[in-house]
Amino acid sequence: MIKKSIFIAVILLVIFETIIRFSNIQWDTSQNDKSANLISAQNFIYNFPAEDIANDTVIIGSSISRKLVTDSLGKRFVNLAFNAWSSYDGLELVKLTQKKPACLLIEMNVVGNQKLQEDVTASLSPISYYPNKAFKSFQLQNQPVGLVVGYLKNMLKARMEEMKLKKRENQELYNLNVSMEKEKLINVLPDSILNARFNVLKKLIEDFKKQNIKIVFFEVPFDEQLMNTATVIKTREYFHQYFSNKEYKYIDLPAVNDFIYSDGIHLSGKSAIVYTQYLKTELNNIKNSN
Amino acid sequence: MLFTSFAFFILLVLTFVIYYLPFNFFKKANTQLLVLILSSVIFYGYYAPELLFLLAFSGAVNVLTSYYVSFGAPKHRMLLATAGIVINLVVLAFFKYSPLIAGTFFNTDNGIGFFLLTIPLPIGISFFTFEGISLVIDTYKGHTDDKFKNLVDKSFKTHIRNSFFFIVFFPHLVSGPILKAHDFIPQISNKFFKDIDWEYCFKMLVVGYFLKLVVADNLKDFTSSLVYPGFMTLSTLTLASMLLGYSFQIFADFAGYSLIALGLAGLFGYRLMQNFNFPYISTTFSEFWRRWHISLSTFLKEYLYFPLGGNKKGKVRTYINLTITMVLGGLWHGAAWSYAVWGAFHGLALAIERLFNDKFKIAIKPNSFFYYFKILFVFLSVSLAWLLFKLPNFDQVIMYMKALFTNTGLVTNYISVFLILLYSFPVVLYHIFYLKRQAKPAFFNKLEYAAYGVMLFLILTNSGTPGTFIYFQF
Repeated sequence: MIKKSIFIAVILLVIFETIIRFSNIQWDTSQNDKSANLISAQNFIYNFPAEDIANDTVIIGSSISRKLVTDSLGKRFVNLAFNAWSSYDGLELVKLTQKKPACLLIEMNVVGNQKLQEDVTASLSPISYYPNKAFKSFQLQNQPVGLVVGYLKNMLKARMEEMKLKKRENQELYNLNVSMEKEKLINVLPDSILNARFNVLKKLIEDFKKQNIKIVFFEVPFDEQLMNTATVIKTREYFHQYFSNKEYKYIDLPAVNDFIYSDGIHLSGKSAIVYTQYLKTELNNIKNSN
Repeated sequence: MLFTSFAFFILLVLTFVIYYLPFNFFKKANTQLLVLILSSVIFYGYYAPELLFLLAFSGAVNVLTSYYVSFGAPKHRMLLATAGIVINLVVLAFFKYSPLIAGTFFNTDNGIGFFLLTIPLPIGISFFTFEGISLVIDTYKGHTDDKFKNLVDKSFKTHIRNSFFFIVFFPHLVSGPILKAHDFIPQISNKFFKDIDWEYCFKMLVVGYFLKLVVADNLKDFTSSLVYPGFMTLSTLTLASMLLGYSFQIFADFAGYSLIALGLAGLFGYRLMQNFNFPYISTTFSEFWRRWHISLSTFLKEYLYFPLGGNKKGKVRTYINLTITMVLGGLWHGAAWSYAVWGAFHGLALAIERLFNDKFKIAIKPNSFFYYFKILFVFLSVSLAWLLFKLPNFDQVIMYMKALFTNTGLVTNYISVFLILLYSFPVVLYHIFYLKRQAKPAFFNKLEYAAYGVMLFLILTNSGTPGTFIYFQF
């Protein structure tokens, strides 16, 4: 019975691996925010060779930057922004994988806990790294259920966009989201914690700078009601204090009222495209000015 | 250490190899137990070695009291046994209930309230404390009941080894099943590689890891939104599916852990008690508690409900005893009044059910409409009560219930609902197979290997992001 069961499992695995290798599936197979993060991280770890990334710009940030429409930027951009995490996680991941992109585009909106998620570090451990690199069927983006989800998302794309729009139209829900976010952002973290976090960021970013990686900071706009909260103002101040305008490049914040937000802090579909294009233009201006 | 971690896998392989090396290599027959004790100590102290002092203290209290209850002066037996139980409960209360006491009776900003609030909860304390209590009580019962005789060896050295092994054996140490001394200690003997029941171990481990990694670990990333104030913005359908998903998740997580524990213990020649017996097919609350966390419910029955008088002191007293037992059982899970309310809910459900059965004798035919209706009713009631596990504050529970009925107009993320149902489905199937297997055993036995093959494949390709076991917090 044991032998038969193992035989069945091996046969299924061989068939599945073959299908994955011979089909070029480009669907979004993430099942939730966490799996979306890990798929991005694993992709960066396993599927981006260091030499390929040498001329790329890597976007680092939180769920806010994840909304950027990276495809519209062209091939040389990689979005390593994570839901519910912050810029620290992306920076730490780039450091751990020892990959050296041409530019790091770092979001300033969220400065969160500074402990890289165990799920990410586990993907880098030898016991995960080699099997996952060798067998595509072990990678999170190729989970059988994920593929079903990817197919469904692809099929229901129009319907899902429609639902997002409908959700945005619900002003009562929008106001509730904004008030919940506001409550969080009113209470600013103590200076001792912020200083500790920024010291870690400074060390990381300075090390990248020493490796001739270009550093550019940017801030994604929020709903006007959230833009003037204590946390947002203080975080911005800390960035400028720790990373002086003389040494580092900043992309100016555009007018917040020019954009539409899905919940107060995340840009809605069309606004995300507009902001991404703004980012591209500003980045080109910075490159041309050098 | 987690059963799903690589470190544990290494420890397991090393322990297994050394354990089954020929005995004469070591020249001592008891080496096997020492190997398991040592690996259990590594297992427990891996992340927080300082907790080993607590484990050693708890073990020492129970080893000493059980020994002197057996071989000390007969007139002091009762006193010693009581002292042993009280010390166990004081240790448990100090570490587990200090924050609850602090929050209820003291100002937690400073002074004693703040001190009590900061006491850490040692992992597995509820489990190994109850096992220690079982050792003391069973030893005491040994003087009057043959079932409990010879649990304590005359040699103090052997008794230390056996008792400590009973408490720390790593498969059950941090999340059960809660062993009873009279079930486990008689199993202690030399074990041989040729005697391993491989098929039993394989089945337990495959189903256990499947339930944990594929079902529970995937569901947890959906039910994690079941927190305040996040749930306020979710639609009725999403909220309902998340609640059901949590019900399946908690089963898959805990039953999965218990099955892994059974499989691991089997590899070393020991049989632990079955902790779950398809609880979601229960037609009554009393049946549910005969099928859910069996090691805890039988512990509470034997060591609390019966000593309170059980059903021997009249109907009213029976209802009261049931409620008391379940409230204390609820509090065993955690230091929050919501756990007591959860226990009270189950206690009252059991009491009302008993009252109803006492008044009306209704026979229900299996497979009838009413039979399935009762299964659904018990499942939905139990699932609703899990909300008290997930949301620590009553206000939040009420807000959740309100949102469940008022958020009908909000947009539903159908992909998430679909995935919650999809990952819950194996648990439903698991229960259906159990029901149908009884009618057609030959058919199901024939296909069994294919089911295990598919589960193995899904463990390799569709495991969720790693998460700790829910019952670790208890």
